[in-house]
Amino acid sequence: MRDLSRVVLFTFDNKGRYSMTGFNTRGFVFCCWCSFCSAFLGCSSGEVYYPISGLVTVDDQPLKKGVITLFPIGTGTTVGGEIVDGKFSLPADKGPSVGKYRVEIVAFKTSGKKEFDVDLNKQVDVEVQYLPAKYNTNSTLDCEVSKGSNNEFQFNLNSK
Amino acid sequence: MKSPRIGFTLVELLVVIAIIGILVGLLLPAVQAAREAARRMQCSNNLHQLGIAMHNYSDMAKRFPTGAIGRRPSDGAYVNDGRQPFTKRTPFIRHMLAVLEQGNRGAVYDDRINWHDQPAANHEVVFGFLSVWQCPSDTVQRMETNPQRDYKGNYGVNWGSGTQMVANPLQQGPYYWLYGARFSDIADGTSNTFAMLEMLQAPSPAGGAIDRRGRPWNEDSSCYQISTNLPPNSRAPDRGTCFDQSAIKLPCINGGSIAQYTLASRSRHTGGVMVLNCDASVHFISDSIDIQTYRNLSTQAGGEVAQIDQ
Repeated sequence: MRDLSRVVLFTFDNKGRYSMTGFNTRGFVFCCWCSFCSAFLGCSSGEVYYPISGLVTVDDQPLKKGVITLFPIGTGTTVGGEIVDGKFSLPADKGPSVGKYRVEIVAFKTSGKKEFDVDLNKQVDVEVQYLPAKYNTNSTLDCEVSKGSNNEFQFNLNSK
Repeated sequence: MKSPRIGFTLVELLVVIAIIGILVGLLLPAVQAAREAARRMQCSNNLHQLGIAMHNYSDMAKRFPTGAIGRRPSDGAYVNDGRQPFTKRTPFIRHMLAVLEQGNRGAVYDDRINWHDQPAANHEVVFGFLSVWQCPSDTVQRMETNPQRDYKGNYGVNWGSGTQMVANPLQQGPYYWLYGARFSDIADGTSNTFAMLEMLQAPSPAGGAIDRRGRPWNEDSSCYQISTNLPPNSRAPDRGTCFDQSAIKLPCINGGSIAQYTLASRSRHTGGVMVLNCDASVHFISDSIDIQTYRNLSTQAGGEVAQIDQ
């Protein structure tokens, strides 16, 4: 029984011949460590995300309320966030990976109309989007995200 | 003569336990994966059932069931002036009941009034659990913040590649306000156009906030209208009457213009979502699908050449 639990190692001598030795504690621990590490090799995910932040102005005024969305050009994942009083910021866990992005921005303002929402059980303001299509559906805006935490962007838009 | 050994030494026991541990460690993920595969299969069966039901409906009505009856397609306003018979708010699921062998439930539903005006005595029957709308990978939820307490579901209709109010007709899907496509409308081909996509049942947030994503019984925007504006399982937030639940893969930005509301297709499956095509075939779409291909597959007459990779 004891003999079976022995670990047998192959060692090479300087002439290229191999010989078997008995239990080798350092070799055994090294083997265990290697197999342990290799078990986790496939587990680390590839994509690293970085925080981004920035400023959006419309006609030189901070954009009060809106949404910014980044669509990857090539590889990457789509990310987005809220714009409040001209500022947006995505922490790393909601941020993009390195690469080029097409940027879509929509902005909202109240239309003066109201409608009843059954779920909220009250009258709510009907809001409208007022930016031209060149900033959203047919966007010409883009940005490039690089490594690190200093990804800051500014977009100066015109409502006309 | 040596006496025979009784029992094992400590080292031998430890080695055996370690080996068992390693084997279990290897086996457990495999078992979990097999269980998830079975759940995914069930999900795909549900979608196929819905596809067949849709085709049965189309045999009778010569078009797919109406996506949602409520807002006016031209400007998104509610026109409850009582003059038009079609302005009573009615969700897509109501038209599916008869063709899903839920005719008795459908008989209780009163079409002369809005869905939310159905008498309280009928709530449990009308808005009750419907297993074909439930993906077993997700958790069953009800709309706890409403008196109807309607059950949520996992399948939403394809609302095209735009947002809630589709500005460009080329972006339109087979379902819309007051619209369900005829086969002749689906010019891109029924096998290249989504009919329904998976969605997640958003739990009701604590504190009474409203999150109506994944709710087939309310026809209003951001309930079950899925657009391909955002990719499957998008890390970018949905926009709608919802509550940010990023921690459970349900990011959201609440409010804004209803015309800009957008729900992405989401699922609890690993790496993608299940979709139903207009020809009633079911496919798995990977999260990493090219966004343009994904959008092309959701438009019914966009004129693009797009196919699902097999």
